[in-house]
Amino acid sequence: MIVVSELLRAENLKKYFRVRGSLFKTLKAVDGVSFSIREGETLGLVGESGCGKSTLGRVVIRLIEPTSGRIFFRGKDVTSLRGSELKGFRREAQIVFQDPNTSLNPRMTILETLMEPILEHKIPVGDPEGFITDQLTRVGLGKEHLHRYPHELSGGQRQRVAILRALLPNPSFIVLDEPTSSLDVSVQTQILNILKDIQSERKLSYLFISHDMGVVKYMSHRIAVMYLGSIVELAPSDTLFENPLHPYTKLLLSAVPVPDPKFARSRKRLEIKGEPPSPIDLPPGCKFHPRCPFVMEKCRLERPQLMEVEKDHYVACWLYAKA
Amino acid sequence: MNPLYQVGSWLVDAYAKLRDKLSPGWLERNRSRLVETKLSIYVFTTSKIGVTGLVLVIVTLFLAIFGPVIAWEPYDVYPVLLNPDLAGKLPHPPCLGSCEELPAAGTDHYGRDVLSLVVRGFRISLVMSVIIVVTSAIIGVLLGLVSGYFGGVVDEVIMRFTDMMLAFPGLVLAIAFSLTLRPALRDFMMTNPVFTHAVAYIFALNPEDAPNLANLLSVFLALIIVWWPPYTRVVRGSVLTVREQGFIEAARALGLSVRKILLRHLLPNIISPLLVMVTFDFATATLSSAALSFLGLGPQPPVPDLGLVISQAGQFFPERSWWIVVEAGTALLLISLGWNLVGDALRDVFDPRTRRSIELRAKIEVRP
Amino acid sequence: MSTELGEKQVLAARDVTVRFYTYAGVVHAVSEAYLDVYEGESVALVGETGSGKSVFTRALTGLIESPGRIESGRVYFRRRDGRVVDMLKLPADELRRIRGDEISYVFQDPSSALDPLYTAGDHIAETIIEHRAVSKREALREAVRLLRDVMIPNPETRVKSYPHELSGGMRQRVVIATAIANKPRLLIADEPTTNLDVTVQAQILDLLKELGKKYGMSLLLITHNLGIVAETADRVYVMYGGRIAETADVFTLFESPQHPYTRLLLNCVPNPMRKFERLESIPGTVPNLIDMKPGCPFAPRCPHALDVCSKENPPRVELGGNHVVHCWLHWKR
Repeated sequence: MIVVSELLRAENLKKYFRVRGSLFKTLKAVDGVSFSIREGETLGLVGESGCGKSTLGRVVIRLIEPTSGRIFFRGKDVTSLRGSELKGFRREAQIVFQDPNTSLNPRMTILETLMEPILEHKIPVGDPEGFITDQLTRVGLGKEHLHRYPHELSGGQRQRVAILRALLPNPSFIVLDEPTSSLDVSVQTQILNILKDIQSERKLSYLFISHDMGVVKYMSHRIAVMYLGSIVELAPSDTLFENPLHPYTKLLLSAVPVPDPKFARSRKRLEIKGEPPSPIDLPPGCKFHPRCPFVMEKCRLERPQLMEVEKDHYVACWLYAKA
Repeated sequence: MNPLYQVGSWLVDAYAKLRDKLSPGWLERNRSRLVETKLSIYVFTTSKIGVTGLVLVIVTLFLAIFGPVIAWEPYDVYPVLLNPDLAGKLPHPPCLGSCEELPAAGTDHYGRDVLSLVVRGFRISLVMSVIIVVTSAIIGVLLGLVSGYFGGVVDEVIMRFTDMMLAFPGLVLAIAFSLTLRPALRDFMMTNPVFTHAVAYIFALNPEDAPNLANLLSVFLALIIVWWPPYTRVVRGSVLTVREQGFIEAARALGLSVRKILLRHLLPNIISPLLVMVTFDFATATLSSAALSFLGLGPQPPVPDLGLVISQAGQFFPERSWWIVVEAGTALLLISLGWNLVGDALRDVFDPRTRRSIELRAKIEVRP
Repeated sequence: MSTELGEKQVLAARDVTVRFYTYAGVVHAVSEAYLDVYEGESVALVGETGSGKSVFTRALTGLIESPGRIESGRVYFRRRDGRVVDMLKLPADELRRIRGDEISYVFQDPSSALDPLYTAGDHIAETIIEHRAVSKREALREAVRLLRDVMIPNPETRVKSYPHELSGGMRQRVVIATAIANKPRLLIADEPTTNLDVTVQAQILDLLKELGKKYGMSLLLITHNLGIVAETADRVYVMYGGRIAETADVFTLFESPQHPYTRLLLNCVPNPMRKFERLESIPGTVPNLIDMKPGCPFAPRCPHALDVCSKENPPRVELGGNHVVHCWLHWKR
């Protein structure tokens, strides 16, 4: 059943890469992921390196083609769109990348970079340059930045340009891949607030990818935790932090540095076993079982699926399976 | 601020003022670009090597353009035929002051003034090297862009073909092509006088001498065939690096067509190493085409090709023709040295780290 | 401010000023900065880009190169044999002897700190042999012991691994093993976990604290991440615009910060354990350190700025305990 205000739905998305030099080994970057995002909602996506969150962010807007699975946008299947229809989807679904130092063409001025989306998608504005100049203030930039090159701007300013570039085609959905990870704390907050304001103004939906739990909680309505290509837990933000169910989520939360010395020193850190394994040699059964402090026999044999354990709270773990 | 930079800076400012008068506001919009240009000039002029090279290149270009005009002797007249008594005295060494009507710089065994020949030779050398390098670069860029961006089967096919061409010993392959192309070219030129005249004009040679022009062309066609593979390799390498950068992905996310991504985003960002390579290559191509001519595969006398001139002097070398080798050889040396030095300085100009570190030390601005 | 080292004190930096002379102007990277580190404690130096924290840290062991110049300052260090020296007055070769032996660095990116052509064992052995007269075999044996200390599994095999065979977390552990090989008195870690996963980061930070206790080593941690500061540090220095803005023990700093910048900075950081509606950002941008005029560097962005703030350098105000703030708002005439 399609919920009326649902904007994007991913069904069993998979992205497998063939490993070089080996016929049989595959890197399962995204291994059967399903979720949906409503209009005006931010879904946070957290996980450590190798969990596939960046790949998933790109697959969902077809910047990387999925190996299998389907993507629905406003109820329509966009998985195999081509040509002008694909371009229409691109206009609606944008992305902001992590590294502001390489996401802008170093040989184009800011104005040229920002003109591109307008010209490419034929956005009907009377005077493109004037329009862009107005929009600059939206992200905290000024007219003086228009004719400069990216290297003349600071990291925070470049990221603002990248955000504005994503906003100009007037999309309804933006993937934000670690948009503030390389920025200073004070700049980060400015940018996050801009993103929030724009979201409420235009009823935008975000897929907010990050490894910083505090930032993700600040930005997201719901959060999905990824591990080795699969979502292991999906819940509203507050619920996830107050009542984490999956052992990996608990592990993650206990490792997150909290800017509160009393709390930090009083809490006990969950014993973290081993290192995150590689997505090439996946263990059988539950992918987390080699590191799980609560591992049971069943975990080694069968892979658990995402199940709704309480309202709107999904977990993929045998500990919570109803008999 | 060195004086050469001040000249360059003044030129940029003058240009900017002019453009701004024609379309007001132009200066503001292009200020960053102008500053970057000035920075390039500054970095270049601070390098003594670069400036020396630039001087040599300017001399080369000047002689290449005006050489045939200022040369004081025609190349296709053999004084020894007009004046048979000279035969025993030729080739005549340079005489400073004490010669009768013989040229001060010495003659070759036909009695022609060597220096005049050399001055004419610049045109041939330069045109040859420029056309070889530019054509090879264009082929290399097209193949390299496609190969690097698309990867997969396309990449494999193009690269295997390139490897195959690279596997052949360059000079030997060039010789082989030169010999096989020659008859076909000769026929072509005989039947296409317009083409022949055009070629003759570019090289400042006699259009009646079609066979020799064909020889000339065969040399550089042969060299082009052998010259493009390294460019494909280098361009492909650059593309592979730039392709991973965020703004390429951003361009795809925007829905740009492949053609636009290649031309607007990839190409401008790989051009710098390419320019440096091209500059160095001008030197190499000059010497390679001279080498082919030296081996007798290029044009024949009376064409004043520098390599040929040296080779002709071989039979009298060393006591009776050392000045010919010295004069023509020095010309070749200066041409290739000039390009090499300029290439070296250009490498610094385009290296972002050097630019940034120099930028901190120089106050560069564009005043309205 | 005493200019001699206290009994249990390892390092005392006073009045350190570093300037960079570029044609664009003089960059006032560090101005009148100071620092104290006692035995067995963890000190955090917090600041954003342009705060001067990295330059200050390098200046502590004289690692500043042209066009930078250490204009003034004293850095007293108590060596293993008890002697107290001023690092900034030592000759180059003695500084080199101290570095890697009595004061060690761990930098941000483990991949660039390790030479890809040398194994983990080679790296550690190299630093041991550099400062002590032992054979290569003995040094390698100790390398295995150190790898075990930094909790690398199978150290006997791993000692022969090349950097590319190790994960990011393991590489950083090798770097740490190299840094503690000679049991330094002070370990300076500049953003040691920025590129690492959260779980790995937690392990490394815990490890650093453990090693500090085990080896009697003091830790100077440079970071912009306030969460790490809360978890790891005993005392904190906050830097802004090349100056120390505030210093206190970690509990005091988080509970009652007195400098406007510290307050705003703490408000910027999203605490995942708390519910909040909106983070207040700090308006404006980091100051331009070129040709700085006297006055508080934070004045242009400070919501409580007074007239005097943009004219004169802020005074040092002691608030009791070890809480010091540099701010005109706290100056009582």
